[in-house]
Amino acid sequence: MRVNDLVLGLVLALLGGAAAWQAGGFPSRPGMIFGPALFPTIIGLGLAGCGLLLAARKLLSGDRTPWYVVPEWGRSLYHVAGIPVVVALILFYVWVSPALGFTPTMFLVLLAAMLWFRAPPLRALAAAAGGAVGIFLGFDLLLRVPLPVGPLERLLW
Amino acid sequence: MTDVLAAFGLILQPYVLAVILGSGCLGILIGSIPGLTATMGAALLVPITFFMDPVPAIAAIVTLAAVAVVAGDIPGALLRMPGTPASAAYTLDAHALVRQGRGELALGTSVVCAALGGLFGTLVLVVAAPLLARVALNFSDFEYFWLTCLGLTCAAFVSTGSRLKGAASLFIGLLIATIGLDVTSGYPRFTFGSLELMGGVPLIPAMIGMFAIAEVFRHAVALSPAPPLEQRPVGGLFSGLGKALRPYRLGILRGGAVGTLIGALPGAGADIAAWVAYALSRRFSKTPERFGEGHVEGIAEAGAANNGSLSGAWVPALVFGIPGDTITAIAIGVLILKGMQPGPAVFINSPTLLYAVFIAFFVANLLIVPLGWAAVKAAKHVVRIPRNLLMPLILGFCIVGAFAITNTLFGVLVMLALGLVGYLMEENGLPVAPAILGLVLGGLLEQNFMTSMLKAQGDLTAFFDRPVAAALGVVTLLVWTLPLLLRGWRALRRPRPPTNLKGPRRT
Repeated sequence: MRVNDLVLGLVLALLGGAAAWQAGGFPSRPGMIFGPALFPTIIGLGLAGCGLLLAARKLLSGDRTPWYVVPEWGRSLYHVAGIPVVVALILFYVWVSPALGFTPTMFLVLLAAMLWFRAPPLRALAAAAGGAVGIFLGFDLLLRVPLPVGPLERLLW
Repeated sequence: MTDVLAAFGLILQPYVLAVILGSGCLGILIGSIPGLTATMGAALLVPITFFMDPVPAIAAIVTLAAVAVVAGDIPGALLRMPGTPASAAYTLDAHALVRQGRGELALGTSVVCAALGGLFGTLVLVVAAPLLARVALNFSDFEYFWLTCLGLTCAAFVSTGSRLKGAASLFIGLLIATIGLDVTSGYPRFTFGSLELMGGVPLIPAMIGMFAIAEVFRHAVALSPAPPLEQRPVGGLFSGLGKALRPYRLGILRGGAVGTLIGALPGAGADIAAWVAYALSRRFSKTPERFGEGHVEGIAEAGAANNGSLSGAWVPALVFGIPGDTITAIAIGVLILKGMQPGPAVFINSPTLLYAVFIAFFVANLLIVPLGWAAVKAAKHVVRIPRNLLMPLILGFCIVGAFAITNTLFGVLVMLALGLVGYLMEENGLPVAPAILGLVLGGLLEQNFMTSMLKAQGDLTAFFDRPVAAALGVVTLLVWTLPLLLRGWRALRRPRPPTNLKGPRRT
């Protein structure tokens, strides 16, 4: 997702401007000259300034990079789907693990990711199982992190 | 003296030594695999070290970083792919030596010079930090404000890429740091009604996202398959090394010094230190034409520099709480979470802790030699670990790690969000390091700024009242404006050549 400096600069300027505008609304406590609005406003303006300078520099330099460059991996559907798949796996974990429990959910996530990355299926199964159990042992038993326990695990121990 | 002995007691415990050895081995793993950086390793280690006492926690991070940077030389030599960015400066030379059948010279030099550079840096740390702390004890909010500004500016400008993008990245980090309850009045800023965001963006999940998840994203879209492995056997690592390196001993010293100095600059880490040292080495070498063809001088000097920078980065970190590189930024984030604000007070209140950290540094850098030797022996197998199994495991580890810090799934969502942000930033040339420093130091910077403003009652000249504050302020302002001024000056002085718009006719 590489855009040229003009677009990047405008996006940053918009972000900084929006932040500064939102920050302007933060009320200070009575009796204090400066309140919560000061610092974010300065930072937002700074970001907006950088964005505008970036866009201006691209405009003035006259170089002809198109506003969006299709990356080399853009032609392959497999690669384009790569990042959304990883995002989906993380979201899957967030939504499913409280109900299903840590170990089964993590096993599914690891297996899906390994298969997506084209690992041989048997090795993926072994590595995913080993990984899920290993992480569980390491974090839950060793470090006592309260990982979610689900119905499957309650059956086992 | 009793403090020093007590410090030895803290370190020479089986648990701490086991932790040091464990992170050393982890460092070998992370350093040897291209794509896994020492910073990422430190970020991955945090969920584990978070539950430890400060001494083993810092010892673990220091050892991991030191060994990972050395281990990064190995795939650079064998595959021409540096394992960590810090090894990139001399990868060509190392690989050339391997192809000439002299791989053990390259790798032995790496290991030994890394240890020497690291030890030099540690020496500087041990001597300079208490001295600087004494100066820092007299600092008020104004001095801290200017110092933090200077440090952040340095980080934004020194990072690779355009200064403008570095500054933009810094502002992004500072902006993210303002999310949450305001420190002076408790007003919720940018929380959009979310209860969890009121506590601010949790630091560790953010770092895990920006350094590790972004890397998983990069792997998901990566096209190139792994390059073939150079199968030359690597023989005795240390034989004949003393004689080979003797002519370059001044260079090695210079490399360690340059590395330590650059490491102490906030935002400039091992990779920049290595490049600068390599360039200096070629500039002052008696045989500059041999660089790039398999010359050991560059490897020796830059290898010393990148490990020296790891120790140097802890000087501003321990004394001022300003991280010298991304690894110390992570370590400081952990210390702050554990309620320990690094600063000159640490030197007075917990000298034993400090001496223990120094001793840990020595132990870690001495361990580089045996662990480096083990790394070279193990390299052939480690480098071949398939990425399609490794990356998902790292993904899983990140998810659990982010969860473990906050004990809520909110941490995982933060990790995801900042992973995307970090990936998009890097894709568009915005370096991630200034953003991380902005995130870590944003709260502190604002606190210093607000208390200074309140003290000065809005009178900006108060920022220059005290002599040290005035000096720091002037330097900071110069650093901000000098590049612009210089460019304007140069543009004015250059005579404009007559522009021929038509150009030569093509027939």
